[in-house]
Amino acid sequence: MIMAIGARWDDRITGKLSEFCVGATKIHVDIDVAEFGKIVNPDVSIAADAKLAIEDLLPLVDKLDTGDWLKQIADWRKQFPLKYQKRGGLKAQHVLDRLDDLGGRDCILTTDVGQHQMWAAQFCLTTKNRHWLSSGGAGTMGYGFPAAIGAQFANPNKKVWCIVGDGGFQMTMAELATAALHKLPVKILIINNSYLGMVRQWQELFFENRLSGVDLEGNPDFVKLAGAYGIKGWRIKRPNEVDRVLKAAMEWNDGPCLVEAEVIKEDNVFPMIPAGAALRDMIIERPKQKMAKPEGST
Amino acid sequence: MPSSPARRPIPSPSAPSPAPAKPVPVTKAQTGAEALIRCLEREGVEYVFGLSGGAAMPIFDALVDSKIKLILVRHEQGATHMADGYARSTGKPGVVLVTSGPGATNTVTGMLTALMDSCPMIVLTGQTISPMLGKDAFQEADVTGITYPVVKHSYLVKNPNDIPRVTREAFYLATSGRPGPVLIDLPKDVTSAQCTAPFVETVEMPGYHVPGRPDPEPLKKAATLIAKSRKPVLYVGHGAVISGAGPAIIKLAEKLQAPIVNTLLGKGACPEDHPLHQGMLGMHGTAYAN
Repeated sequence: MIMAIGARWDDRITGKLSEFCVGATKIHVDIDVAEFGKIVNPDVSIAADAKLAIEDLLPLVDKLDTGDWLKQIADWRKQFPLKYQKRGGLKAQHVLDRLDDLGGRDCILTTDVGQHQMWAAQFCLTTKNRHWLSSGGAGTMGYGFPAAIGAQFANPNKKVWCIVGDGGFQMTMAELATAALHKLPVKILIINNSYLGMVRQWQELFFENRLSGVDLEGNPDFVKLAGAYGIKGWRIKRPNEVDRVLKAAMEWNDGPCLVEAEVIKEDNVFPMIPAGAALRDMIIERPKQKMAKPEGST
Repeated sequence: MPSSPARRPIPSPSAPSPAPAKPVPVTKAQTGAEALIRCLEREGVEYVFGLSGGAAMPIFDALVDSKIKLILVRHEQGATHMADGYARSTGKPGVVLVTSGPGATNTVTGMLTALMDSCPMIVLTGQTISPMLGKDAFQEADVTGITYPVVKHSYLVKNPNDIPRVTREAFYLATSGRPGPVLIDLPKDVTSAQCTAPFVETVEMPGYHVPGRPDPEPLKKAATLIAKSRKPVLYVGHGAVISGAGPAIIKLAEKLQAPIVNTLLGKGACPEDHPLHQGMLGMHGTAYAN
């Protein structure tokens, strides 16, 4: 049984639809009746506000016998944990994992779109409502930095981190002036791999590593760029610098600050379910054999 | 009403008819732009994110005398994402104010982003004077046409006395049901002319129905199916964030002893460090969530 609560069976969730949760009972709670049957025909659709629906459902249900099921999931967790190699240069995952540990979990996080977004989603846990702001459906590069500015205006007493890639940040970085002028304490973390990394990953995995339109040669020195606006900046090049810089940025309160993390250029986000593939075709690590081109949309 | 086809609300005969509008008298003569700003104040707007320009000058002028803070951006796309960040972190609608033509078209990406992710937003665009509409006036663009697929609803205001009603409706539409961006296109002659219409408190949109509490029947059926389930999963999306359903979902998960997974945008609805939480599912989700 799978119960969607305010979710829309997006193609990045279901993968290949004909093989998604075959035989499972599907319950769909949504406030927008146009969502029922758009992708999945549910066994029951509940048109309601999600909170009211769950509150009204609570007295009608009892404990289920899920011991075996939870044990199986716990075994999977042990067998396939989220992981990354600590050796071999500075990893984006390492930076984001440490940000989570050093107080990021209590901050509002905004992201841009691409590899850094997925690593942030994996390694920065979100424990509070409305503390994770990211462009999902549209996948709008350039979203993260201005969204952080808006969130900081709305929440002057909270720490706001904006996690962006070097590509997306350059699409809306003119707003550095807006952040500097208002002395907004937004913390900008650029995961800089000098590539449009997610597209490069797809080209590596599905297009025989024929790179096309992904090399961001010509990037500026982001720390110097921050300096031009009077904004404090740090650069991280080695793993042993991560904690010191993130702590300093976390405590910085004199307007915006910027951290440029020069991560290894060619790293991939795993696990990954290729677009249009079934969930069981998930890739856990860099494959040795050639992969077929994905059939799904994007 | 013009609205993207997938999102068109289905009129429900059972929808309660809203109470009749309670007119609030206008106390003094004001322009359409001044009335617009008073309406924004009445809606509780704290910030307007915007970039000025010729066709929006009466509105920027009226902002001078308001306690609403104008945040001047460097590019209109930035204004839309700022309004989006404001809205997603608070649940209150974010407000954007830009000029006509290129100013307005630069908001398209931000409105698409807001529509796809159900984010409440009000976009106010200046427009050329209404006698020049359709005549290729300077910085003219058919903004309601260009933005038609990326808004929940849009208005082209032809009469200054429509401003109080349109503004109230726009805020109601942006924030109710499945939230989304609502655009109000405001010709310069309309914002410059006198508005004598009263402010309005309530909206009358009989064709727009917002579900609230669930009907008991599907709920009972769902409970029966849940009772038969051996491998339940609660798949939590952005709607749970918007509705604040997290605490109720945690109660349900704990009562059923069912695992929780969330989508990219469902992050934060339920704390991801809860023992029953398996993290994000989907293309780059955890193996155990999938």
